[in-house]
Amino acid sequence: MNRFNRREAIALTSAFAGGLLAAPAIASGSAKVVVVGGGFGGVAAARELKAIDQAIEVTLVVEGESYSTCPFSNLVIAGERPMSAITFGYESLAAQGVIIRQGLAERIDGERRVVVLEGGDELPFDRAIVSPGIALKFDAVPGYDEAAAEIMPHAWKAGPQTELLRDKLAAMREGGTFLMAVPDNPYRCPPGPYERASLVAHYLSRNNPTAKIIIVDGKDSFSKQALFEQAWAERYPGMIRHVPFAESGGVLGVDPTTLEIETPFETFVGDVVNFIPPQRAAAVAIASGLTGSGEWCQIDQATFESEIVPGVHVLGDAAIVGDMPKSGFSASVQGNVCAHVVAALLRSEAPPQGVLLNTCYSLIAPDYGISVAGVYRVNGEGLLKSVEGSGGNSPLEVADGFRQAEADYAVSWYETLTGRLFG
Amino acid sequence: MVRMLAFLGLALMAGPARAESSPEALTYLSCRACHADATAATAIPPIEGRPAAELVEAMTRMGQSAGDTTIMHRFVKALSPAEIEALATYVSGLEGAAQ
Repeated sequence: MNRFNRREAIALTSAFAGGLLAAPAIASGSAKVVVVGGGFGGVAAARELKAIDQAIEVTLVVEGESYSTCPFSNLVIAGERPMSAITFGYESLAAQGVIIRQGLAERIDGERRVVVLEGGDELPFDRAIVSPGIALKFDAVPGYDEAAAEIMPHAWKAGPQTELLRDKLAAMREGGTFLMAVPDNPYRCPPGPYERASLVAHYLSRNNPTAKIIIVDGKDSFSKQALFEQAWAERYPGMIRHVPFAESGGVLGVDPTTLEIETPFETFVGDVVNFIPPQRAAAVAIASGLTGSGEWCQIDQATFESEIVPGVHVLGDAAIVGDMPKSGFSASVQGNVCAHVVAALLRSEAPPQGVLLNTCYSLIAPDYGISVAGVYRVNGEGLLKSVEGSGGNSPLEVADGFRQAEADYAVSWYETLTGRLFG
Repeated sequence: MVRMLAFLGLALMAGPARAESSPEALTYLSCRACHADATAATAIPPIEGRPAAELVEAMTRMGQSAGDTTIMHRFVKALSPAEIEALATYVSGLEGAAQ
């Protein structure tokens, strides 16, 4: 496979060098690709498709004029960055030749090969790339619906919810309790809730030092747990209480009028409640039949093509992409690779393959970073598996400056990736 | 063989190299999530356009011993020597640092 791809690449190179550059639309001249989703996955895919071949007509369907990233939104909640620092427009994509279509994709019709927008407009495609993200399940926890989310914000999609939680934290009474609920796996950004608890603790330790944080968890263990707990003991001793599933028995329901979270063993009360509900693939994925009878999209892990709807590729948080976690980094890498797969398929060539990486940095404080990294390859059975002996967490024992370096690298990563996508 | 093919590739193309679909080009799509263009002043060093031998040496060293490396050794351990060489050759051929 490798040799085949390399030969193909060289052949293509020769074609360019031979003067065909002026007519690069060899076989994909009139090809139309519609990309659904204006986040990390969709933007990466749209931009990379244009980098591969300007002649492919790429339409990116986005919900709003701008996009606020979940990565670094915990810094906004902690008052360390303004919302404007994590919010990006699509102007540079338009400048690259991507057609930006603002609207809500309601359904992808795989039979007719059209994306149906709210209002009835249809966008035809030869292939579609769908990276719509998650939906919050407002029917899963008694008492937690969209109205309750205005009182007990989830802040799990960056935007007004982020600002709402930030403002509630800043207004919390002295010595109050910041109460969090975290769902069982799978959900967007596995270490995200614990980074949030850390950065809220960072804020409180400076502004409200007698306040407490309680995390009611839907599971017993979590990503980078030993590193988080070590850091909490060091930086925020006595401030954060983590309640594993086994200790509470799980969330039975919430009451927004009393700011309570009820479990079989204990009723928790917060002065500010951050309730992160269970999640599933975004509505458009379910309406299009991409999730089958489940809640997440099932795909061919080498090509991202739906196992249910041919011609439609799904990636990012909405899909089960082998062993890769639901992260913005993962989605952007998948979007890039998927662009190459789709471009090859449009030329009736074999889809190329490479190694995929993920890194999730978490900030304990602006000067204290930790990370988990992974390397993923498609194995002989077509499954995207974590490569044994690689990846893993930051070490528990480190030299001076290591945590600061990882915090600096987290900022560097964020600036580079958002620059590549939106700059 | 890898080196020869890669050299051939470099000799034939200047501009569109980044968007090719070789395995190393696809792998590099992950690297560039963190490693910026040479013009950027970021904590993570730019790698585009750096000499291939230097990149091979750095990746090989990090794969053998973490030292004070925070993250790269966790990636390099998944790559074979041939993949490291192909990746380094590809990255060195991209427009980037003036050396």
